[in-house]
Amino acid sequence: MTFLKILEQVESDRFAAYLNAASGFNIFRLALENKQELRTLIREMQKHPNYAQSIFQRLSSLLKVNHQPQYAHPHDVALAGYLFALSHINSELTVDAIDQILRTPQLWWSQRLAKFLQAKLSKDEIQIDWMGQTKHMNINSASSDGIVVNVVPITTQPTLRNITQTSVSDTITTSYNYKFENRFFSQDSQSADAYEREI
Amino acid sequence: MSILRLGDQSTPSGDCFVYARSGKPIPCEIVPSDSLDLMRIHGQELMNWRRGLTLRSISNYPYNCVGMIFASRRAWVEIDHIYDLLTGDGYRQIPVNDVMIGDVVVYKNQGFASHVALIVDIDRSMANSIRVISKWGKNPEFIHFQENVPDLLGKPAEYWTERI
Repeated sequence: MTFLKILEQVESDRFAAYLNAASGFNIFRLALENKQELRTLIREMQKHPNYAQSIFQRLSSLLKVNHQPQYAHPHDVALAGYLFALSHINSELTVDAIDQILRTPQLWWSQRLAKFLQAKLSKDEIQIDWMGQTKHMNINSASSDGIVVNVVPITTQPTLRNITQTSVSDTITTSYNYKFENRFFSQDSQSADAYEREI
Repeated sequence: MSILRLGDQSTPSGDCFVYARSGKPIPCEIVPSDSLDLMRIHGQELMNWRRGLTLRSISNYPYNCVGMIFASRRAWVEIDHIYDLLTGDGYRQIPVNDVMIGDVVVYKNQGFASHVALIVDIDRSMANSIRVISKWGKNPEFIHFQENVPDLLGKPAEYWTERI
């Protein structure tokens, strides 16, 4: 099945009618997870990294299409489908998509999904106080650079050391230590327990 | 269940409530209305897709299956609250052999309540063939055999009555 054919299915009346049968958000989310069209889409996006950008652009375009603004957005379900697919592939685009969806009126399922994902992502957000500068990162987006956690401004932790920054961007890419849920971890292979003992 | 909002009992967060007979507040949602044209298209899609459906009514007032039965078609109440409503309204669970017209059937999907429908016909001669009226989320109301629903709505799992 071609990529365009998948998009056609996700934007079809049949797809919308089926998912609109959900009697609540949890059932809607369950249905998204089980929907074959979305599984196929996610698989294609995994195979072709540039598809994520295409989906994001399609989502942005569809958001603008509501010829009867007094009613619910006609592409609400398709938008939720695209957001769901993006959330499996690219967290940066997901954050941008969430932002756009939350600013668009007359959405229901897609806004609920956006709020759900936003809460999930913010739970994963990390703040690193590095050399007097506060860095905000998302666990998912940061994970590709090797950074996985934390919350506590680490300069306030005098026991932390060996922190180096090798990237000019907002990401710290090499050796670091961090604190998560009051436990200390190290990026290198030390286990949390071992590091705690060392501290 | 006593009486229902619409709009005027909104909390600052935009939520609203219906009240079970016990007085317990049950949250409901403010849902944007679909256009009638879109609802007709979606209703037709479902009719084409599933045989044996009778379309009972189309309304773009936003209510769902729970709102149809427990809020007189005035509210969208998430299915997650179904047990609060059933117990708050004095319903009790009964075996399928005891059901009567007017009782309700709760559907489950992967162990979770997923849908609720009102029983409108029972044919005991055909292995408890039960027909129900139910609203499929934002879609129209249909009359159908109890098993004849989209997969996401699950399967008939429990029968409840308020009869004493």
